[in-house]
Amino acid sequence: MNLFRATSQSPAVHLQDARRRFVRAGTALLSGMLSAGGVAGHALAATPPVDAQAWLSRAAAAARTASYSGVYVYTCAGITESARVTRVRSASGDAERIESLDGSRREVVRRGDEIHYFFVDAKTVRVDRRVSGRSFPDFLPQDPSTLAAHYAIEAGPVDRAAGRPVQVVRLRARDGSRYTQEIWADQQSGLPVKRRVIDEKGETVEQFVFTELSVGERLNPRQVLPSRRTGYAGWTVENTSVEEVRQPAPARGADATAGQAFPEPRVLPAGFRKLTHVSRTLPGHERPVLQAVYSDGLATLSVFIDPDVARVSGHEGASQRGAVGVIARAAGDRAVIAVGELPSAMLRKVAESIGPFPAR
Amino acid sequence: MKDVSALMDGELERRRVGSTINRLEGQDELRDAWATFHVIRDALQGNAAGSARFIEKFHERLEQEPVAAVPRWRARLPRLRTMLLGGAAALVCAGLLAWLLAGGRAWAPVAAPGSGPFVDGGLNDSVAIEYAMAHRQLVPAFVAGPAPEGSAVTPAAAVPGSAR
Repeated sequence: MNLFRATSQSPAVHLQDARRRFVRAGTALLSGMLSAGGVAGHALAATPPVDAQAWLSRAAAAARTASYSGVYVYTCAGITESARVTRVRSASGDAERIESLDGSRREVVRRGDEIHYFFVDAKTVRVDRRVSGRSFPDFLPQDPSTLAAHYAIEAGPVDRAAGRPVQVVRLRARDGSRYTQEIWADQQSGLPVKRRVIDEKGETVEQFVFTELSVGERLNPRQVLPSRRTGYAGWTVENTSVEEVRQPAPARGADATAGQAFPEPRVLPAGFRKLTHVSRTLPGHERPVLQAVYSDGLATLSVFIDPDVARVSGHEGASQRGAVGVIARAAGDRAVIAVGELPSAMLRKVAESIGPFPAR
Repeated sequence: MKDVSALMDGELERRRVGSTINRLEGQDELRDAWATFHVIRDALQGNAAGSARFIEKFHERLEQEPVAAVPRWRARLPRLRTMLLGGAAALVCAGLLAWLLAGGRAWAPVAAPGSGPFVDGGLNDSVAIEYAMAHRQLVPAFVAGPAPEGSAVTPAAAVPGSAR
């Protein structure tokens, strides 16, 4: 709509005409707004229920495909930390940089599945391959409809987080084997801007929330480079080797000494499937440990079989930090360590269902 | 490719070094190979002397490559490894690590109800953190929680059972 069309009229007439047109346009605009409001009001009265599953799918897709940059705050077991995260996606690549903003200076640079941890104060860089880790805000499975078997997916209210309107989606655990989670999905982009993990008592055991966020902007790939460009003299590099174990898994409870076969736990929470099975060398370990990762699509569980039982002898037990529990026990001449975002009672059942191992 | 390998091993004839470097500057694929060889060599050597150079190379490589180059590197890695190791075993992990997390904020012990193999009280912090870290990659609290006490890393001491 051009309010000030060029004409051959005198300036005064032109102005008068323009004013008339402006008033007419304003009236039309106002009436349009009122009528749209009427429609909206009508729609509100008959709003269909929010499709929580669709929101979850949208959040998963956004977390997988969006480029974003922001600062999030992580709260867990009374500890609060903040980190700046930048993730750049392109058609064939995925890179991410996370930088700690509290405490010691740490940076994580991930390209594909390769992770470099820079511990700046300690002048150490560790090179690792991603096995189980999925980081906020990309933590949902590709097809979140698979979660419905073990979580009741419910729509919550429209809320605000990171200065944005968001839709809350609740994933209520259908049994006591896992935690309930809540996700705040950005209404505009779908990206999860907040995640809360809730235990059986209704208490928050872990939370991530963006305090600043920009989504979908064109980001420079340099933003996902380590901040330190030079001056690495005196630094130490630690390499972690990870080898995928390709042998088919043996029957549950089978002997771990049979090649690299993984001694499957006889007890797993319902819906947990094995994602991967690797042999990896952890820093400080002389011999590789076996790690199997299981998941119900949302929570993950790792079971480690360490051939060096001395690592846990004398300090077997359980620890919990926010949502993450660790249980270590000696099983014959091996150590069994179960780690996961599971209630400790469930984790304990898993750890106790592995072995025994015949003496080597 | 073979020239790159030889250059790294210091075996390339002097007169050919210049042309190989020129080609490195001009070809993405060779530059990938260069970076990859450094990674592999450092992993194999456990990297004492080579670490500083490796990271600088790593950085240069990141800067020069578009993000999209990641899959090419990953696809090539097994072939390079086979070439270098003659199909031998996995990369060797070097050195002991102190988990920088160790010695920091304590984990809450979980009371062990009933009998069982678990000691009441709680798992040793550094063991818990070590495995939590291995499980939960990329999550800040486990990627490295607090600053190590006294800051300087004392690799052998921080992880029980790792001093040998």
